[in-house]
Amino acid sequence: MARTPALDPAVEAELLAELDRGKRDAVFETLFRAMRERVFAVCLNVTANRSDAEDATQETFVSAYRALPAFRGEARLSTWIYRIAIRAALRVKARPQTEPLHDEPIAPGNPNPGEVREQREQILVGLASLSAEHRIVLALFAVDGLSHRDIAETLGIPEGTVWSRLHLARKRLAGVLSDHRDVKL
Amino acid sequence: MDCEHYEVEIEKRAHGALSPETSAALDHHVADCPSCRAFVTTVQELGKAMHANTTHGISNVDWSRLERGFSAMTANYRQAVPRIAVAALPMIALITWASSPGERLLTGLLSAAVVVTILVVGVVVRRRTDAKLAAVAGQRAEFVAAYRAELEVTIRRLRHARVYLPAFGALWLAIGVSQLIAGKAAVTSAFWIGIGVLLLVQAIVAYRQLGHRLRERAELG
Repeated sequence: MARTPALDPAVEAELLAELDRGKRDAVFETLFRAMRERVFAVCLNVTANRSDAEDATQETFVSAYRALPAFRGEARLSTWIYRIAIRAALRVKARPQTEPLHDEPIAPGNPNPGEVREQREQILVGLASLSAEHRIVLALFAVDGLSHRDIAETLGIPEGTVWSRLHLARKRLAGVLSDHRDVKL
Repeated sequence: MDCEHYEVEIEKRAHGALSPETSAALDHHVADCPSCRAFVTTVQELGKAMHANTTHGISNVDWSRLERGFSAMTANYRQAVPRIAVAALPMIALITWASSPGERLLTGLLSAAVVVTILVVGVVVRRRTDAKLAAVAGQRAEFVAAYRAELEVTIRRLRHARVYLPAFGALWLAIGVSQLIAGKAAVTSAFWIGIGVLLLVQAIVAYRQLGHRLRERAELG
């Protein structure tokens, strides 16, 4: 995946200045539009459920809107949002589980839609079988624009720990998926 | 051979965090190690599968539903200041209109009481709405139901406002104009006229808002 920043540091600085001027709604709108897909990606890979991921995304931004006036720039705005997203996703995941979605459309022209759907569902099942710690690190690495330094900062752990945690998480996920014939690994 | 170490390096390279020198040394090892070659394939395939799953998930999100929820939440915050201003202005006019210091004191205290009440009611309503949104934020069906209920209340309020705002606006305007004709202080008359105009503008805003909300309700079904 291409590693492009979700929010350029210059844009973040501008947003902080806007926040100081009391333009919370404008900052929130920019933040929502810039970060919504990345936040959803984190939530999807942490909850391992598309419906829960939508709910967690919603909770993330509701929490962010409320907490924005208290944000003083101690961390990067994007790092702060990812932390909120992880907490929201874990909260949603801890609730009674909702049924996974089965009626999603397959892109037209796909030669084997059943296989593609099956593969996606197995990825989610595989993620769900991992510990929260491993799901979180895989989720953050699955997001465009997050470097290992950003991930270490988000999680508050050393960079070396990020790599070893990612390695273990990926090996476990690969192990779970290799039990399924349809997922080529 | 310490393949665990090389596997971590394979991960690092997949995420663009390996120097060219270390990468070259890694290539040497991978060429001679079937286990690490298999791991390279695993990392690549897993990355592709997770990327495909994430991309597919993102493409199916109903962002407009989320945006509607956030609009309702932010509108609630935004409306607080204009409401207080509209409530405070007639009180300022009353203070200006009062002829004796006693009347000014009385109307001043009344004004303060009304503004404080509006502020308290505003905070209570905002907190209640926040709590309601927080309680249903994680449950999609409940969130939509709560949003629809809030929409019905807003439509009812706007329908009332469409009647009383022009009525009061016309009344304040009439008082102002009559005072002006009667030769009272121009400042006092201007206040009444100003408030009348403000209320009429508010009536137009309420009328337009009602149209938006009705369209929104039709979209929700």
